[in-house]
Amino acid sequence: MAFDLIKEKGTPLDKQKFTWRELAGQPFSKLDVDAFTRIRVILMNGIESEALRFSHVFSRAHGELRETLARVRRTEQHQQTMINWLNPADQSPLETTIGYEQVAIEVTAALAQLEPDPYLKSIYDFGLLEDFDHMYRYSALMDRVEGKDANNILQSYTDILPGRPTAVEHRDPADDIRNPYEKTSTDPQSKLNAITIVSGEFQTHDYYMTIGPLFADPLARALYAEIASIEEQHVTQYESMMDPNETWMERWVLHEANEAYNYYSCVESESDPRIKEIWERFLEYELGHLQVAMDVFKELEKRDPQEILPDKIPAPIPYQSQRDYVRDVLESQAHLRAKGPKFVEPELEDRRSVKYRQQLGKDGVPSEIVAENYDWKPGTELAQPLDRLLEKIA
Amino acid sequence: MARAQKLGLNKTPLQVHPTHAKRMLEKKSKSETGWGEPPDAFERYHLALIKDSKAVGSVPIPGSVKGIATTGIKKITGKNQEIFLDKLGERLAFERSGVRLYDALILKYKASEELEYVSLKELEDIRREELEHFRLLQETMNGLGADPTGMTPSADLTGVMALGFVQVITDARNDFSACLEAILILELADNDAWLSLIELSDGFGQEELSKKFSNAFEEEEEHLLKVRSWLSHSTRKKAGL
Repeated sequence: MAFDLIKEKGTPLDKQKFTWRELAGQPFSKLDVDAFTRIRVILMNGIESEALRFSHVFSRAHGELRETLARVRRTEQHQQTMINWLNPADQSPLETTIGYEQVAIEVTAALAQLEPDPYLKSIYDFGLLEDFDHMYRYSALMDRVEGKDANNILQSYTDILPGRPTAVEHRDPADDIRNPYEKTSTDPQSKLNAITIVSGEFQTHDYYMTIGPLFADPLARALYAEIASIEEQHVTQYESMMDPNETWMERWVLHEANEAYNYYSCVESESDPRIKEIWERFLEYELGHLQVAMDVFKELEKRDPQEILPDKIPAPIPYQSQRDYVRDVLESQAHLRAKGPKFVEPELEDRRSVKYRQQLGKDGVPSEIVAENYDWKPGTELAQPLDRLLEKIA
Repeated sequence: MARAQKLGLNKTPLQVHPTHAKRMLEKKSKSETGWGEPPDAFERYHLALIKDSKAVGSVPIPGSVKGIATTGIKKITGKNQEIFLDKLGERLAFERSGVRLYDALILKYKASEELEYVSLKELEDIRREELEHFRLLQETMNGLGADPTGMTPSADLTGVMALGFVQVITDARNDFSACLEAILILELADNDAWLSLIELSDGFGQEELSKKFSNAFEEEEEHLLKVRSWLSHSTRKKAGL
């Protein structure tokens, strides 16, 4: 399915309507859904959340656009609701957390491979291994506190292994700031990737901040506090890739284009027919929003939005297991640390980050405690290995 | 870790703030919006959605597990297989979570002052038996050609119910005796569920399985008796009886 981002009109804004019944409609089945459908649902909730967040901050800076932005935002709000409410009630906060980290791993790995800029790619690789480790820690928590197997959510698409240990991810803020792309010379794919990843990480941070205190187990509470702090670091890191000289209007057009791109990616890969229809509908809505944004862009900046958009819609984000890529990055880069905008060998890490994490960890490090000697087994640590089961029965 | 129940700090009853309560009661709280929803809208909304909803999910299709033999386990087919596997999966999930809940209870025991009515060994014995029950169900499902790592629909629902127990028992503020209430409910449910599984096994002519499940049930009956006794002791002790 090829289409022209600029020429496709999509659904006009005044035709974008909803009912409460459809916003809070049938969720997917946690048991029967393909994990990549859940991944798409989680990511697109993040994409819409970022759309709302950006639009609100933009509104505070541009009074003349308040009503226009509020109109577009109203649909984004309801799109976000319809998407996020696809999550079923039997999917617990911790199970959803596993889903969130699977998004972070699989989507970041996919973006890293789509990324044309080597430096920006290295940032995705660096962050990827940290979310990968979060998955391992949360899996240990799920096993040891709830007696459940995270692989029921992951469906074997994603490994449960230690990454760059969460304990060493805590850094001084100066070591989370990366060099930004330069807006006039960078490939539009890089800009779309940046918005996608910031969207994902921001919603993950907000999610952990919301659900962390809902856990009764004291180590669970502490683990969420620890990992939420890293997610804030990730938002800082990925956000810092964006050129601070981009204008508000450029950012708006890019946001809408990115939303369309992401829905297009979902349409191309979705296996659930009912949910695919939602992606198709919302792709048309975003094309409608993009038209609004481009009209305002032309009026205010007196420029053609084609200047900042890709010539044609890029190849869709692939929704498939990135296991081999992740293992390669893990093998070669897990040991790296950050010093300012660069990635360095551990001995070159700035003392400020070492001291920072030593202070936080002086009463114990939750991510280390929860996963001590944790080695994921199918059916949890308590299960008999399947080959022993076979011996007993034969 | 003694947690005395203090009087006077709880702010939830109406009488705590009589002046404010009186002010609240001055106003009629019924909505006069006149939106036009019928009086039975609450029920109709729910009924419509309940009728439209599908089940939480399906039972995993048994795959062929290389090398399995069916010694002592008879093949079951069709609808019976689905129900049996679903219930086996449920019990498996319950027992596995039960092990972790006893892990949490043991931590509460270790954090307590001397409890003369219960010993660490008794708790560890129950924990060991829950683990054995989980592994029995793993072997059983494997023997039927099913994958015991999957989550069946009833296992899923049991997981949702168990979250309440997890929240109570892992909360550091709830001492050993507060957690016993939750454990009692767990053991009551466990007992009845094993009886149900034995009935199903009998109904499907699975004599060997029925014997093994009956042994597990006897152990669960012991668990229930013990937990009841501990809770009774604990409550009487707190009441100074």
